[in-house]
Amino acid sequence: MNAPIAIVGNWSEGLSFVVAFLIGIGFGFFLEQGGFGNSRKLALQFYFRDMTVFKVMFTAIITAMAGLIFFSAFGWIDMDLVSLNPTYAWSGIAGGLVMGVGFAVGGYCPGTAIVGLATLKTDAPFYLAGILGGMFVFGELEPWLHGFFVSGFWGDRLTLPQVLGVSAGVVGFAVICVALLGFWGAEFLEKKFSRPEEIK
Amino acid sequence: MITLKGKQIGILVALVLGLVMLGLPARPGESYRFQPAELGRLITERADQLAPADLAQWIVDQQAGFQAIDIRSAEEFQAGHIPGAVSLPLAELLQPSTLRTLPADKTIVLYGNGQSHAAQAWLVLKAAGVDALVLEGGMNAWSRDVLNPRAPQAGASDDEILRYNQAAATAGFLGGAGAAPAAAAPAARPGAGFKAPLKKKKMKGC
Repeated sequence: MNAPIAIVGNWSEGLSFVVAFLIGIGFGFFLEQGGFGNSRKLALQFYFRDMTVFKVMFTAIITAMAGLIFFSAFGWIDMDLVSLNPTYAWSGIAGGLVMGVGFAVGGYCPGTAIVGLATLKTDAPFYLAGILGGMFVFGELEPWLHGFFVSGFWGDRLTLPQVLGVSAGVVGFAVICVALLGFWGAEFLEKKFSRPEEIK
Repeated sequence: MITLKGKQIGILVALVLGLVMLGLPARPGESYRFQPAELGRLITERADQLAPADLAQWIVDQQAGFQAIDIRSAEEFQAGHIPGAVSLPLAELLQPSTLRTLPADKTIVLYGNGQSHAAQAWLVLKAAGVDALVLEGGMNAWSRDVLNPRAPQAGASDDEILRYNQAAATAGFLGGAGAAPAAAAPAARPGAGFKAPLKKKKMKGC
């Protein structure tokens, strides 16, 4: 487990697993409380009828982002120790599309599928079987797809502040503005498209 | 008095946090990433070292892409140092605040009297992401090879004499004593290379 928070750095691996377990349980619990264990509710965002997922996720993004930016500025967290995936532009775009289509069709993303399973939703195990099957197929085909998989390489630890040449705070402020505009837009769309009787 | 509702409080808090963020300085990373395999490769290929003669050539050519750093004590630096070098005693160099200020666009050339302290500092600089080299043999080798090149024996080949004359000229340029024996050596033969400056400069080495 990556534990970039200074006080966590000296914990044993076993203790880190306990912390990871508790954070994971907390994440799942709050997803369920937000209604994210219901694939129909999740899928409705793609029809602009229920934008809860969008609003909750964007709120989580700006909360976590603000936390990281301030912790980093106070010297409480070392962003160099935070794990980042390398950036591959083309396969990233393709993967995002596959994920988005899968989300719209299946009504889950991987995390919410686990939540759905925990609350014994019938469609969740099928969705998870699809995820595992897809992973297996991709793993077997990877040698042929490898060229595309690593195409558009842009950097090992590429971040928006680096690309734009500004401080993390400037990007943070811009993301908050985008989020607020997004919330306003989401509510506007909900009012326009929602048919509340469908959700329940 | 204006009373704020739940949503308005949320928007206000987000905006205030965003505005505070805007003013935060960009904070550089402070961690050090050791890449043992890469370091091992550099050391095996001797890509971590710079020969004194090569450093001398860089200085003579007035290359801009490097910065020599003297990691000995300030007193030793005062007593004599490589031209263009800056004094940053080891303990001071290895302060995180100092490491952050090292020029990112230059190759740092580290030297002490010998080589071991510079090599130890090299590991830290590499982990901090600084492009660095160690002066092979340190100040001792610099003094022996660059400032005081050995005059060729009688009957030396033209090549050797040419090389010596070049080394002696470099030594003269860098403030060494190498220029002195050039006239005494059989280098005065016409066509055996350019002549070293005869003016004897004050020895500035260690």
